[in-house]
Amino acid sequence: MLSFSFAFPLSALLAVLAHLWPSHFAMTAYQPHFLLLVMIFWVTRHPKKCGIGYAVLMGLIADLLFGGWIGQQLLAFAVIAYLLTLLRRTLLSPTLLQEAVIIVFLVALVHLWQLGWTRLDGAVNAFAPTLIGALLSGLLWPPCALLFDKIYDSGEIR
Amino acid sequence: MAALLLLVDRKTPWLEPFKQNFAAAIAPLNWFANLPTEFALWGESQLRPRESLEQELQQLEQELLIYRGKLQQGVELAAENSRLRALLNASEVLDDSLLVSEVIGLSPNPYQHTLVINRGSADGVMIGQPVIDADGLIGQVVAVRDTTSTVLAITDVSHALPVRSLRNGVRSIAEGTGDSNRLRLRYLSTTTDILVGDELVTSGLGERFPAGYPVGTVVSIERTTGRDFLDIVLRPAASIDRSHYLLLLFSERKIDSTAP
Repeated sequence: MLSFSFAFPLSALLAVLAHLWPSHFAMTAYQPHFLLLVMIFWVTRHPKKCGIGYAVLMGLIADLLFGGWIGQQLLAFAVIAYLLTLLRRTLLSPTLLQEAVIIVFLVALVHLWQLGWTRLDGAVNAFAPTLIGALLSGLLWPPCALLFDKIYDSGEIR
Repeated sequence: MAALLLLVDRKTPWLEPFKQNFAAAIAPLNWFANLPTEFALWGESQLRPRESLEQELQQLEQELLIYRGKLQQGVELAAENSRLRALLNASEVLDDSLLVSEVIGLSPNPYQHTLVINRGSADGVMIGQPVIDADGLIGQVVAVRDTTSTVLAITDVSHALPVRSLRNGVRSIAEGTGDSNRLRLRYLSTTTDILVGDELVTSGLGERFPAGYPVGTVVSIERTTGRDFLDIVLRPAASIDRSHYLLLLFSERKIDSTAP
């Protein structure tokens, strides 16, 4: 079992590397939002330790990595973390499938938020790839969450 | 706090040093993330049969011979062009020197078209320097670090450059659309002589890009009634999404102007 002080930076580093993996401009629109997935994992698995503060930190990293205006992702991450804490009260012990469905909606929200900003700047980006990216994030969630659940256990009762 | 940061970043350059420092800090990660691609390329070259490599070498030698032949013709034409320009008292066209660079990363932001290359200030790279590939213009350098630089592609939504038609010299502005296979031409009236298939090159206006580098080809023209301008779509000449090796252009004029 990994400790939090090792597992958290490791997961963030892996997410950054996954985003930096060179592909094609056209493909990046379909890419899952790895940093957001990592943030969601820690906020849901370790809610006492990882709150909105950690989400803001991850959002700031995403802003700097993605190269947009600073504050775009930061705000989105903070709102998502807040929504997750609200959701935790209504959905006490979600299954991986339920989590995956929620993740599709949350990632789609962040992608649409990003798309909105680029439309404001005059871009003509297509709508569909962003939703496919959200869907892929949802598909990626169960295997990744299972793997991380196996190597890390916060000991918290969720 | 986020709204304040957004406002500050949109309206002021105060956060730029912070962004630059972060980009410099993650430069080794770019290199690390690129390792699997490098390894795959190396593996492919190692696994290829000797005959195939010899065949490719022979083909490349033939191509080199053809281009050298064309270059001889080009040198003669350039000299003639220079003499004619001198007769017309026109400004002299300067020779550009080139530096080969390798793409080591792409922006993870799907709405931003920037590339990271393995050349930086240590190689003499400067902000604003044009970047091309074998087929045409890729973009310009927007950030320089010690060993890496960031190139803004012409297809990025924030990019625009002056172009002219090779057929008749019509000038316009080619803007990025956020789609790597599409540029749009702006401010051409509905009566302008432009056709599908027209090739557009850099016009040299603004002195950011040297004149004559291929930018794109017109693929569609739409005339919307009630609108003063045409909707024209170009396909970029350069393989912005696929080129692994890029060329940095060093213009003598620019180097001289920045010299102390």
